Amino acid sequence: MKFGLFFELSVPRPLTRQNEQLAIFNTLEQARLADQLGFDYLWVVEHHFLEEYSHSSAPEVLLAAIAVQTERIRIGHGAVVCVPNINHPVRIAERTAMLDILSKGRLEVGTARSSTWTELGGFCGSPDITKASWDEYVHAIPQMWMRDSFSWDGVTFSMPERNVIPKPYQDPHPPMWVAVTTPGTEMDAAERGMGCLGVSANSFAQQEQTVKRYRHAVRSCNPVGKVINSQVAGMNFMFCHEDRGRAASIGLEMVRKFNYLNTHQLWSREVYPTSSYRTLGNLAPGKGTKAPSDPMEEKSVPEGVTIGCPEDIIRAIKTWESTGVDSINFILNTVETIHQEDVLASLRLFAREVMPAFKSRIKAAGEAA
Amino acid sequence: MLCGTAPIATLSKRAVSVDFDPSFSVDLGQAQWLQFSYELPGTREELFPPGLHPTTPVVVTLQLWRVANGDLGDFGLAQLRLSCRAGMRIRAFLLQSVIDGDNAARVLSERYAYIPTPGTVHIDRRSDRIEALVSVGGNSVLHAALLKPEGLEVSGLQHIGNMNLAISKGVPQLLQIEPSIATLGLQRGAQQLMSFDAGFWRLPGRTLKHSVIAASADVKLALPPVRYVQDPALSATVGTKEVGFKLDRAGT
Repeated sequence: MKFGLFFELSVPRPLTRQNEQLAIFNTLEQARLADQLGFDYLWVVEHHFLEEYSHSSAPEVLLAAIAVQTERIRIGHGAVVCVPNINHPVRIAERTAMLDILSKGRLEVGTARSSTWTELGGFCGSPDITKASWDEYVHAIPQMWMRDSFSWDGVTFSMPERNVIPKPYQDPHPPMWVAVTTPGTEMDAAERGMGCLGVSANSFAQQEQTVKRYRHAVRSCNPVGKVINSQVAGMNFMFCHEDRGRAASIGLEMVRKFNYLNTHQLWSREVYPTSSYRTLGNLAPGKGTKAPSDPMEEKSVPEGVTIGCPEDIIRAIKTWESTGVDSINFILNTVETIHQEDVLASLRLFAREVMPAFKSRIKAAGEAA
Repeated sequence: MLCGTAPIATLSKRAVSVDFDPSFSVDLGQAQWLQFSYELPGTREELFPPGLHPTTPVVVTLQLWRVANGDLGDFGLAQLRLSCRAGMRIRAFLLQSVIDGDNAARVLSERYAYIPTPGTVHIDRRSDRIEALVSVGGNSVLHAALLKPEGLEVSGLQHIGNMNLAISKGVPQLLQIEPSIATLGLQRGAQQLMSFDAGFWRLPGRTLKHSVIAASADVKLALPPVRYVQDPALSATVGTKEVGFKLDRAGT
C-alpha cells in the first residue's frame, strides 16, 4: 500500500489575496514535509473558477515549485483537463515533459474532462465533446512525447507535422492515469492501459467492484502509450490524532465543508442536457454522501474514512487494501479548517504510527520473495 | 461560505399563502416542457434568502409547461428560477411564475406556492423552431425560441426541483417542490431571446446575455405532496423539517 496527498488548494472566504497565498504556501510546506516523511505521491488538481473549493487553476506552476523543493516523492498532475478550450494537447505534452525533467523523472500524469458548467461554460467549451477530446488527447500526448515528428488529424484537434519538445525525463514517458469519478470510467482507464485515479468517495463494496472490473479489463488493454500503468488509487480524507474524539471533531468538519462546497459547483448536466454526462459527477448529492435532507445527522466518522487515532486509520486502510487498491491519496484540509500546525502534526503522526504497519509488510514480502 | 443575503421580510411580500395537506398530490398528465437557460451576470447573493446558496455562476431557467388532460385540465405555466443549493441539494429558486387556467392557478399556488400571475403561456412548434410566448395583461414578458431542434436521448435531461417561497400560518417557508417528471422525448438546440421583461420576472436591470442552451421535452408530469419545508433564514442543514410530522429534523 502506497500513500499520497491530494491537494485542491481550497481557500476560505473572504477570498482575499492573503487567504489564497496562505493556502498555497501551506500546501508547499505540506509537500516538503510529506517528501521527508516518506509519502509516495503528491497530486495537485486542475480546476477553474471553483471559488473556495479549489483555486488550483495552474497546477503545473505549483508542481514545478514542488518538484524543485522535494527529492523523492512522485508528483502528480492530477488531473489535467483534456478539453480544447482549456488546454491544447501540445501545451500539455510540453508542460508535462518540462515537469518531468525538473522533477528528474518523478511525474505522474492524470487526465480528466471536467464535469462542471462553471468550468466548461467559463471557457465556452461544449460538454458534448469532452469525452471525445479526452480520448484523442490520451492517445496523442504519448506520441508527442516519444516521436520526433508528430502530426494529427482528428475530430477535436488537428495539427501539421512538428517536433513537440522537450521530451520527458522518463523513457519512454511518464505513467498516465484517468480521474475516475463515476462507475464505468475505470473501464475507460483499463482499456487504454492507464491507471485508475479515484477522486470520489466510494463504499468498500463499490471500490471492490471497481477494482475487480478494472483488473479484469486491463489485462487485455490496448495501451495509449508504451507504458501500461495498471495501478488503482483511492481517495480519502485524513486527519490523524492520538485522541480519537479530537480527530473526529476536527476531521469531520473538514469532510463536511468539502462535501458542502463540492455540491455548490454548477454541474454541466444540471443546465445543459447532454448524453455526454450520465451523472452529475464527483461528490454530487446521492454519491457517497449521507441523505441530503439530513446533512447534520451523522456525527461519527463514517466507515472507511481515515480520520481518527492511528489504530482507527490502520484498520480503515487495511480494509481499503483488501479491496485491491494500490494506493490512497489523502485530502488534508478544506478552506483551512484545520490549522496548519495540526495538519503537519497529523502527517507526522501518520508517518510514525500508521505507515510502518504497511511499509513493513511490503518489506517483509520483498524479503520473503 | 456563499449564501443568500435577501431580507426575508422583503421576499415575503411576494410570497403566496399555502395550505398544507400532507396527502395532497396532483397528476398533471402529459405536457410539453420547454426551457431556456442563461447565465446571470452581476451579484447574486441578494437574490436569495440566507437559507439558499447561489451556484457559481447562477443560471436562470425560464421553464414552460403546456399541460393537457390532467387533474387540473388544460393550462400553461411559465416560471423563472435561479440555480441554487439548499444544503447539499441541487435546487432552483422560484422568482416569478405565470399561470393560465384559473383552476390550475388556484391549486398550484395554494398547495405548491407557485405565483399565480394570470397571463397566457403559449408554446408554438414549427418545423425549424419551438417558440415560447408569455404575456401578462396583454404585454409580452417573454418571447424566445429554441432553434433547429435536434433529438437527444431522454436520459440526457436532468430535472431540477424548486424551492418556492410561501407563507404558511403567517410564517415564511421554502417549499421543496419535487415534480415527478417522466421524459418521453427530448430535443435540444440553440436559443434566441427576442424579448424579456426583466422587471416583471423580478430581475430589474439585469440582462440575459450569456446563453447556455434550450431544451424541449414531451413529459408526463405529477406533483407529489410537499414533504419538506425549510426556514428561509436558516441553512437547510438546520432549518429543514418534514411536513405533517411536526418533527424538526435538527432537533430544535
